[in-house]
Amino acid sequence: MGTTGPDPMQEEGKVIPKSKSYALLALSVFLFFIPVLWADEFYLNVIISIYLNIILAVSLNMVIKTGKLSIAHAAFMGIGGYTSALTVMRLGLPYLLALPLSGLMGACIALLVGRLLLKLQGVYFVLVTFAFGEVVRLFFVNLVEPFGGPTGIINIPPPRIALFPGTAFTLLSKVSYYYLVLGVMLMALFIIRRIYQSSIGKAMDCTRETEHLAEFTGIDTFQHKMFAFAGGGFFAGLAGSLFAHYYRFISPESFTFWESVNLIVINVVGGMGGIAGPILGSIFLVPLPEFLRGFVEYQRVLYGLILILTLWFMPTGMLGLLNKALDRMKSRKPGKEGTP
Amino acid sequence: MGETLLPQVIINGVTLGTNYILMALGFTLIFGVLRIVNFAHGEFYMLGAFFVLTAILKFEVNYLLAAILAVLFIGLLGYLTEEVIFRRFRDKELEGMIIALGLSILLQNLGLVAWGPYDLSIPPVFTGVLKIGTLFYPMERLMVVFISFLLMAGFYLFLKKTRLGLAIQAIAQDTEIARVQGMRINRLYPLAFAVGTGLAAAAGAVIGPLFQLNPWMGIMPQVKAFIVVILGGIGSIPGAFLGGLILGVAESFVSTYASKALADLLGFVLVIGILLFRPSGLFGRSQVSR
Amino acid sequence: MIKRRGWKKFGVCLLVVVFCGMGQAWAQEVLKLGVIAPLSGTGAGWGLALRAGAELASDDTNAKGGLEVDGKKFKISVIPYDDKYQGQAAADAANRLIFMDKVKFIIGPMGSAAGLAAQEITEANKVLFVGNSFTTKFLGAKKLYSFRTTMTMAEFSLPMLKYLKEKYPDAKRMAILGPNDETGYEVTGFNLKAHQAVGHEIVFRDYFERGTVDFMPILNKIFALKPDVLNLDGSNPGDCGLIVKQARQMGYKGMIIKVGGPGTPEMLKVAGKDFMEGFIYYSPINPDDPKIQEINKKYNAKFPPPMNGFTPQFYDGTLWLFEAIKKAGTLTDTEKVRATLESLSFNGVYTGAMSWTGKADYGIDHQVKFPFYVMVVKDGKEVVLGKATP
Repeated sequence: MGTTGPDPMQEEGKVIPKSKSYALLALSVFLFFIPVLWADEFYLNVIISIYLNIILAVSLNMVIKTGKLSIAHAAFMGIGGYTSALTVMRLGLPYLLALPLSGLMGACIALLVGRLLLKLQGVYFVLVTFAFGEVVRLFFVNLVEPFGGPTGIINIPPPRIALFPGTAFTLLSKVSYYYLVLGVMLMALFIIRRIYQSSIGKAMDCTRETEHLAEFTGIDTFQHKMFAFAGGGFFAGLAGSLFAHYYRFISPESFTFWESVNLIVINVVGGMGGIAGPILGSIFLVPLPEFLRGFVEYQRVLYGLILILTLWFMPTGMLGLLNKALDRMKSRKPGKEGTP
Repeated sequence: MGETLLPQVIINGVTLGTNYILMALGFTLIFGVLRIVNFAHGEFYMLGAFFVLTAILKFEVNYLLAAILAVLFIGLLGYLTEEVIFRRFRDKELEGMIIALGLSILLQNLGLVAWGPYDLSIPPVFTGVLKIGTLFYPMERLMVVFISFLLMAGFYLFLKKTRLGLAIQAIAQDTEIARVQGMRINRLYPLAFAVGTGLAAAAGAVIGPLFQLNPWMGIMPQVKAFIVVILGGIGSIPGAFLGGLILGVAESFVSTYASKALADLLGFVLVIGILLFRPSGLFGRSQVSR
Repeated sequence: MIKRRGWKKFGVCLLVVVFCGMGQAWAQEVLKLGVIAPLSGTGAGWGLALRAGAELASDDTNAKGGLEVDGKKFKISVIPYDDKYQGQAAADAANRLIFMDKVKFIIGPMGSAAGLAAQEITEANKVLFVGNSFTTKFLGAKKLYSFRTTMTMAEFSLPMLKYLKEKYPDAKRMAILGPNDETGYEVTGFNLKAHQAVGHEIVFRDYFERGTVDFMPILNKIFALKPDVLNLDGSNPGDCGLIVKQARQMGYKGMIIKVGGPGTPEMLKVAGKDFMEGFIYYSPINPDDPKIQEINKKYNAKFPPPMNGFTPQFYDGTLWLFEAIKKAGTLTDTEKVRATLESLSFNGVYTGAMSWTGKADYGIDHQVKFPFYVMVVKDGKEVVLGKATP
């Protein structure tokens, strides 16, 4: 990326230390109570959408962290979605197997193509992922067997979870689905946060910022890129499965280039410096269409504007803004323990 | 049956190809010189077509004048766009690309607000069909090919014979040295962008009457332009030319003898193949991977 | 620290959201009618027709003082949402209509994916879904609340092709070209069967990717096979216009027909009347009917022209629903309205005698049937060729 001006990826210096983990835990517990506080189906639907996007946006963030901007993320989501629907409907797999399988499928295909694609740099990588995403979509559109072609797959059954033999329950209500998605999202965030905090995370940063230097110090940058790409594919696959069984219907329309672009916008607007960025981005951007329902045409205009203005005025995204605000507040209180 | 089919297929392919070339020229210029992946290129094409439509229907300007004005106006728009929007991202390829994406979304939807979601048409300019033996060739398509060749020739002469053109080539080859030599980058960059968008607008003005106009009409041509540029080599004019022809003819063959679906797939597979195995394309420079 | 602040912000946002949601008033005298249709992108032409039909029917009902239900008069308020011709957007729209706007009756949608996705929600919540979703899977014995008030190829292709076979017995070789999307696939299936049933020979059958504007390569392939008739199937009006224009430019002299949805005025704009001469198509209404001029005027007063042939159909479909609500005497017991609608035949203002059918094909009689017109374009005008009954 650029050498002048604030680097959008430089914000992660403020990663949350372990002592604050308890605050996060408390927050997670709070999230468990949301359906109790607001049982409204409409809001639950919006929140579930937000959670799904968070999983996707944060996993994309992982790929971006190694310096690779991928416009194929929605394709991996699609791969996961179709895998999940087909294994449950055709092979009769229980959902608890289908879900991780979707993730694995995403990861495997990412590994397979990543081997070739990740060799490309900068803008060329972006372009090749664009082409790859389209190829995947065209596969879904043109193969009626087994993907259903343009019609996609309908009547996907809701997840039937059997934790212990003999106790099976079906996730029919939004509330139950909320918990499923919440669980997967928290797991994803937990794992990815740990990765970011570990030496792998640091290595990923080095790979992005100064690749040659990183190689010099013995970091296998290619391995890290593969790891990030596969990880991205894995979580995107999971999200795809959740998506498929929630809407109970998937078609190639849901996994286009524009969906991938949405995820990039979420990262850019939210800030790419850390996990909080895509989370903020999702919370802000995903419900936006709901609030602009009366003005459908202007919705997308606003969207484009937001993207442009963000890159112009706040290239570090919402996360960057937040950090700046916090810095200013800290600097007004000298002597107080400032380092986050 | 076979005798009429093959020549018709080739003609279709060449026609298709020239459409692609016009778009690709502007795109490769912008990409090659400014290093911007102009995701909004299709939108300038769209604006060119709509400018002509508005000029003809609302102001009763004749087609030729409308087309020329469209190129000038959209070129100016391109100049301003580079100055105002892209300037600070001149060294930042990825950010520039994302901004172009934002611009694309913005323009498409502004178009939707301005002109509505329905397909509109420019009244046909050249009617009649040319018949040679059993081959049919609509006049309007012939004119498009003809005009496209004129534009291409004009563009080529511009690049090779005018000072501005040579300057643009210089900064494409090496910006630092060009700057050191005293070239005014701050004027040349927007000018180069303007030429690129002007070409896109010309494509829109010329091809517009053939098909439908709607706010997202630029998406497909954009994708094709991008495929052609990768195929021909980024920043290469002869590459854009040859790449366009090859893609057009290949697609024509595959659609006719195999299926349309396969033809659509072809372009993307080509892109992936080229980027991986011969990244400089047919004629481009090799700066694609390490 | 950032994260905690971040989550606090989230909490505040959520509270604001909840308050906004609670700000909606629930007026007793209003009947909310939801509309889910493609209002942008591909299919917007048909989507607008759907919305216009519903809105015009509501306007006319309101002009008469509203819909009388159980002694009280209700003003109809139409709430349209865009489904972008996609499944997910339709599902979100349904969610919003049902849970936020508290709607119990929805007109729509147009597309297959949209219908199927939204249906998961409407059926589960016993919301009446009256529309056009162009797929056989939209109707079913278990889908009690979904009705279709337009005819699909399943209903009219056979009668239409029978009529054509009688009138043009020499036209035997058929080429079928449709769009590569859900609608295209479904539709071609019925056309295929019907063609075969009347004894036509299918020489070509293929699809084109949505967004295609240059049809010459595929037309080239088709004409090499020397068909007598080119059937444009479920292609949307814009694409059809281009296909006709390009086919004629290539010198094709055979028949061009469309056993699919309406859109001839749009096609005329694109292809011009010379190329459109002799074009044969299905129309649910007779455009020369003076009543159609009336609704055309009303349409042009409110929406951008031209009016698509679907509008009068949805107008009638909406009125049919209103009639059922009125007869059932309830706005809230959708079970009762459903049963009433099922038992009701209706004389559409523009569509004629509408009744339910479909048990044989779908397992439930929720498919409308009515006599329709086979039309031809003569000198730029839409002329009735004949009438047919499914």
